[in-house]
Amino acid sequence: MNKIYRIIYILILTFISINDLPAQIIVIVNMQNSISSLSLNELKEIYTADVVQWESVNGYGEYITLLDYKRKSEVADKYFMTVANLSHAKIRLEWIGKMLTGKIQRVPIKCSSENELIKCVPTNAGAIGFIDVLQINKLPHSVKIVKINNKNFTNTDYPFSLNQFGNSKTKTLVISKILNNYKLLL
Amino acid sequence: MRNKCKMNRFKNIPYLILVLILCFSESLLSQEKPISIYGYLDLAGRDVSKKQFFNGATENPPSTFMLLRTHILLNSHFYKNWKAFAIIRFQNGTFLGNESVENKGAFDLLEGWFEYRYDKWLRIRGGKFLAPFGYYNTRKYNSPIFNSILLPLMYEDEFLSQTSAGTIIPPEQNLGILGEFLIDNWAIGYNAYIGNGSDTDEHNYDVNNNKGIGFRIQVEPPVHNLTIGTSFYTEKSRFDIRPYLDMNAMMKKAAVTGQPVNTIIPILPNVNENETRKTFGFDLRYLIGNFKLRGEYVQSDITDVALIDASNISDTLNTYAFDGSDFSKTFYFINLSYTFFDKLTPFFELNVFEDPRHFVYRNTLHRYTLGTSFRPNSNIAIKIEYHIHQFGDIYNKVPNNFKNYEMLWAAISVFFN
Repeated sequence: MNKIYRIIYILILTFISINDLPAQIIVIVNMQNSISSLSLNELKEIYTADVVQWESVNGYGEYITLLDYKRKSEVADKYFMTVANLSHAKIRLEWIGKMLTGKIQRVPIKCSSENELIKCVPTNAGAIGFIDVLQINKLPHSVKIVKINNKNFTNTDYPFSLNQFGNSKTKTLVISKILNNYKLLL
Repeated sequence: MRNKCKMNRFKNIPYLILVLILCFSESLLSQEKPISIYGYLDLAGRDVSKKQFFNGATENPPSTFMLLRTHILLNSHFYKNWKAFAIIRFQNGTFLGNESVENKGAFDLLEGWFEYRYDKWLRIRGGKFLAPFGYYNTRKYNSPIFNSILLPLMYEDEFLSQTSAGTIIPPEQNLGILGEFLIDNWAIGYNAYIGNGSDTDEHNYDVNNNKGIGFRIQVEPPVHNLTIGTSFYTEKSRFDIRPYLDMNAMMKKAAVTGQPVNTIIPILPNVNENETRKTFGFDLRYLIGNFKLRGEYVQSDITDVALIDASNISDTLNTYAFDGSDFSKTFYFINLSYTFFDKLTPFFELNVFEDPRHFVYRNTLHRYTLGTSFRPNSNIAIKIEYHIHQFGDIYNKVPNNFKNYEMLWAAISVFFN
């Protein structure tokens, strides 16, 4: 009986957690960067390399270094579709095209994991990357989260909120991760 | 020819050294702004059906498969708002034609320029760079991102050199201003440039005679993924020309002299003339989901024609003639493609080229291409395509058109960084 109460308690906690977890993705930059908020349009310009310097979006004067993931993922696909209306594969081709014409100053850095990406940001003043919100506790002090459309990732109308951005698969993933966090209770 | 080619190689060395010194010295001085080095390899092969000329003469090009080229790109933001960029090509194999064997093993500096960026709306570029004419010209060395192996006809140097159709696209330019700005969600880009033009001496050095100037305006309306552009270029200079070849006269004379008609394969005379060229272009690119449409139209009006040396025109059959009248060349292409699963992109392309001074054909060429590319990842493109060439003859009124010929190409492009 005691165990049943615990399970009910965990389910309630999980439900509350999902509703308190409006963001699927957060955008991060180096702490030295003066930028605090970016519009979706500015993000598009950054990720399609139409803007190559932070100065152009009222940020730190450094050139922009895009951080990307080596492997294809559904999250990355969704992120780039929301930002630039391009799939992960297509945006990579866009980058290669702009590198071949000399438009991109910095070669996008491909990271093998979110941990690696998080480590890249403090060492690259112009870096910008995106991670799953569940990795938020791994962010060092030298990395900051950028508001999107002036919305904090805790706002429900944040562009990459779970409701707007996640699908059933990502929600299941989030639930399983949350359950994993509470497994000690069992 | 061989000396000229060697001189071409040496001509680029000062540019190359300067770019390398600046790029590498900066990379040594600063860890923050290193030079980026990346590039790609192209491996290509082709099979061509037997070509048959109007007089029954035939040519049977061999099938080939060889490592064609390696492109190395250097990109450095070396000081505040300054950057340097260079593309170096190593020609591992020869062209896939029956000439230009001299290019085997050659290093060429395709582009090498410096740029100062005042703001997004004003950048100043100097050095050697591809003329921003049309959508394709500044991207002509981007084979890893193309779905096709061959460029549209007007950009395909090898095709043009073999058939001596002569390009109507401006040569590399030397000084330009460019920028982009937004007006009510309309993105507008501009380029204005000046270059040494096409005129060179026998060693391919610029003779500093006449300059070419041009400009381009590119507009991206708020409509998603639509880009339209218009370009203009003018140059008064000395150009290689294709004298008039009277095919009917050629056949008649051959019959009179008893020479079998089908043994004659026309040979290009080497002749120059002064011309004023005004070239106008319009281009469009539209993406709807996985569907992509690209097209360009270019027309070059050639006036003030004056022959420099006619001595090479005379031939044993006396069938070449100089036509000093004004004329126009036109070119357009349309490419339709659809991408499945971000990996497989079949496409269809139509190229139309009309050149009344075309040495051999003096007529029109339609090239129909069906092909597909497969991308296991974004750095690798495996391509295959089939071309059908159809030559029409609207000038000579030769009874039969040239026999058409087909080509099958296969290639792999690998991007590395």
